[in-house]
Amino acid sequence: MGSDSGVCPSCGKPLVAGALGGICPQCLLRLGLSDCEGGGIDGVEIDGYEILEELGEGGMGVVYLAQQTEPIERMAAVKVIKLGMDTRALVSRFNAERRALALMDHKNIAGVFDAGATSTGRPFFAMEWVDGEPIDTFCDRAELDVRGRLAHFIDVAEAVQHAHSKGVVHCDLKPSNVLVAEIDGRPVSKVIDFGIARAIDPEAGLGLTVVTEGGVQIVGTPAYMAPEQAEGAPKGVDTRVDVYSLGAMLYELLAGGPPFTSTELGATGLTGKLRHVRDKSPPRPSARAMAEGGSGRKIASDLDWIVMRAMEKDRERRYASAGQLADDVRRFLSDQPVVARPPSRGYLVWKFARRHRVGLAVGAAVCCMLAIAATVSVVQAVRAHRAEEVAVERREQSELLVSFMLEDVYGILKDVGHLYLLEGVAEAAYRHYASLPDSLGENVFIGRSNALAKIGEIRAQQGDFEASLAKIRAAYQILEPLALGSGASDRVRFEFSQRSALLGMVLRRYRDPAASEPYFRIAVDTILPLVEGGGERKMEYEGYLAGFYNLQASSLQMLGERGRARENLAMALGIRERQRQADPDSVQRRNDVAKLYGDLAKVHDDPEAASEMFRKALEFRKQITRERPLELRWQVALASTYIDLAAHERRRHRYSVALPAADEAVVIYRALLARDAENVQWQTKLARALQERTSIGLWSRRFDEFEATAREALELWEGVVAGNPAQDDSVDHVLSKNHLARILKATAQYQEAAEIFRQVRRDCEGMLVPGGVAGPLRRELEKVGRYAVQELERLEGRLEPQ
Amino acid sequence: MALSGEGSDDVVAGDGWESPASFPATQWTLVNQMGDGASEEQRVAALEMLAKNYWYPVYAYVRRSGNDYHDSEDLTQGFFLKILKRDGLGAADRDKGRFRSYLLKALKNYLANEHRREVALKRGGGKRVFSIDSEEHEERFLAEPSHQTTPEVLYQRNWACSLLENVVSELAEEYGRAGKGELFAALRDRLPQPGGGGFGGGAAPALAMSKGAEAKAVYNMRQRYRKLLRESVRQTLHDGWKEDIDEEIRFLLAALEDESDGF
Repeated sequence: MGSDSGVCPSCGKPLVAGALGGICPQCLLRLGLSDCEGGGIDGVEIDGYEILEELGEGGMGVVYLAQQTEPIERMAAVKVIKLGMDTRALVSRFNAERRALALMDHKNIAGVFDAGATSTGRPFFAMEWVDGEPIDTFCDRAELDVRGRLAHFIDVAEAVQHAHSKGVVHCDLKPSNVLVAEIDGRPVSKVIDFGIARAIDPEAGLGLTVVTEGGVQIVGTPAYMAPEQAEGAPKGVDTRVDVYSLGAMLYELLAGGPPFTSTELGATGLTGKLRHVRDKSPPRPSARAMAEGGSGRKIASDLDWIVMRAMEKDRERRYASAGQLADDVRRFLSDQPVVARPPSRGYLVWKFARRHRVGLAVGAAVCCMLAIAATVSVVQAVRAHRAEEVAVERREQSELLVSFMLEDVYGILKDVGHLYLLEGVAEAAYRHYASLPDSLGENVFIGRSNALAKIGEIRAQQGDFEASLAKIRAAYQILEPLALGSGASDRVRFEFSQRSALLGMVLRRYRDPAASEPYFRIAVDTILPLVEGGGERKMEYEGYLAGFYNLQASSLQMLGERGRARENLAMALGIRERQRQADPDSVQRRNDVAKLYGDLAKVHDDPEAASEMFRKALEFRKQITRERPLELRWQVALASTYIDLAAHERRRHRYSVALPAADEAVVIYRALLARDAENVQWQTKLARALQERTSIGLWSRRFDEFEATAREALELWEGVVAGNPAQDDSVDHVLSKNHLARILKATAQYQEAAEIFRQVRRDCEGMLVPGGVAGPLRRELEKVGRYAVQELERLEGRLEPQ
Repeated sequence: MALSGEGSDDVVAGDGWESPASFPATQWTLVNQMGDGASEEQRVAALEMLAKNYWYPVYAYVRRSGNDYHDSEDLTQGFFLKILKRDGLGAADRDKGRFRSYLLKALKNYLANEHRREVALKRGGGKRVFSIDSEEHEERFLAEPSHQTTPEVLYQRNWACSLLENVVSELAEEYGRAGKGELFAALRDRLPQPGGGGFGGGAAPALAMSKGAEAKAVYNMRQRYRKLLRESVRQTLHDGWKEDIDEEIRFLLAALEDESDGF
């Protein structure tokens, strides 16, 4: 280097010959100055960082290796953005998301920990430095087989899932944003750049890589970009864009090339590229792998299904979460049926057989049974009653099929929110059982009732509550005469108890707790003799009994009968605790106990003991979410306990305990909504959490601090009631208006307060008509209505002089 | 005294480095050691260290002052001998505690007062206390760029260079002792400038290091170097405050950059 040219490459001074062997003495000396920070590379200087080396250049900027010197010493990768962007706006957007980013803690995520401006005012991001290579390069270099690739991919998907659970969406996932580094002798994948895309482009949530053509500048990486991103959808970009990009990444890892090649995209110009992403479907990974040739990897058709499912153009049809995508890959690895594949009967049987190929004898027997059932269509079975003998045989086969579809498959589809796929099966099953003669016995009635109940549940998931209630009531009525007659079989009584409880739940949710309570009582009374009768299913029956007690107690509590509610809950808790102790590792058992502690706390007379019970419930549920971070329902359960605790502590005027609890719930629901912005259920829950927060503000008289919360809650309720709201949602909507109006009045914003109180008065009048809202909700509304009228009189008196 | 025992390149500079035991507290201590109560061996060892580190600046000054090769060699020998005997050193002004200035003043005194006699005594069979390769120094002197430079400026410049050479070779020894001589040899030229320098990224393929790990190793090396350099400078100052060190370095920088001026 320098000694040949005779000039120092750094400072340009002539070099002195001598023992320094051509190193520039001035530069060497300058290093000794205490304010020497190395001078940077490319003139990049950042306070608190020493820039060491250029690591690479991407579309949106240059990445440097740097040593952070303040506030702590650590290595960092610093990304300096070269787009002409408003640095301050960008940094403030990043700071807005900083809290969520700080919550991320996952071994497969390299966190972004800082953002700011360089000495020349360009925006920069600093993140954990990963000394590795992009995942696609790594997989090829390490010559990983399909299983090895999938193992890394699962880590990545779970990392993304973790980020989603903290409310962080990546928006620019691609192989070059997943680095594999050797840590403790093992290759570990790390997802980088979380939080950067959103900071750069919050509106469209597009990715980072700049594509510039013909003066048009957009950001994003077309080959990995979800179609809704390519459209530049200004709103509603949610976690499912990451699911798509994960799919595209998996595509590349398996097929050896991206879903859309640069030749496909390159020839068409920018708008053409985006249109291509929106409209064209890539070939299946297995086909692409063959076209690429030479990779030698054989790609199973299940993997095709998984990739294509993740890359569905319509995000509704994608995996609902990155975690579900990971789960499906895992199912593939353990030879279980993948969710991505349409559940054809032959496929399910084939998978079942493969999974059980070790136990050949058993497997083959079950396989045969299912195969026979599968060949007999429901229609054939219906026609089969020409001879009683044949009818019995066919009926049994059909029933086997139906129970397979309505129990096993039903469970899978319910988890992924695709119950509607079974609508046809349930209806066909009902037609089948309806066509069989009553003389065939109780099985026919049970079958009809069960099919109707399933249809009812499907209707409820579709939001059609009237139809749901009608079907479930019919399901109940079919079994009622059988079960209440003397000499009813255990099976009929068990099924009837289920129907009673289901009917109670539907009534309570969409009508009135008073109407629901008798059905829960019937469920308890019906199943109690089965528990007492002992037998091999005693444990199972006991579990249901505890559940029914619990349901009944909730209704009793709503009706103000705390004493009876307490008795029921105590009995349920006794059962649940026994079950938990019998199986202490079971997440479900612990959750059951936690729920009961929470419910019992709500009806307890001693506030301190109640607080203690909430804490117990909280401990169980926190532990569960730590063990099962990917299963959303535990998060939801945890958040609901936080809200209950917050409300309880608020009533005890312990606001410093109540507020953090409410905040925890808000954080959880916000994270859920970040995954799925349009999910009404989660909007409702967040609204309720914000409403509790507002209540705390009102009770503690800190009005001005909570105006924003009240407004946000109200805005969410407006959205919820614009759809198809349950009754309590509509009431909560009015209550949240009342909250906001009270805050506005307390902060002297009389004009707006009066306007909202007028709305409250109008809403209450509308809902309190005869036949309208009933039960405790009605009493609540009456109270709010009276309050609004009083307040309006006072306010109007105050406003008149103006 | 060396790289951390684990030999990991991940060691961030400062971690795993012990303070360099090979350095005495300050050069002043070294000078004092040569006096009261020190054994002959200790005194000789201390002076040899001094002579080794600062021989050339002294030699070049003597030479540029108009002495020929042989006289200069003898005079330089004589000067360091004089220090060894502490003759006349007490008279030198300590000049705000800078050992560099102190040594120069002592040298000027020596040359002015004792020049002739010493030379006469030493010439042709004078005692050689220090085993110094005088030919190498003469070659180096002949390669000095400007003949216009005053002896004083030359002295300051060479002082700076000697200081740097000592630090770099100390660093090389440290790496060598930690079994990382190869690493040092590969990265040495990247000491002064951050980034890939003239290498266009990636110094030595033989290192089998990722680019990042390499950058980190360079960073660690540079951090260690800075520490050694500042420590070396501190040792030449009576009060080794941070500001004093910076001031001394700035003076040396000026001496290197400005060829016409000297203190």
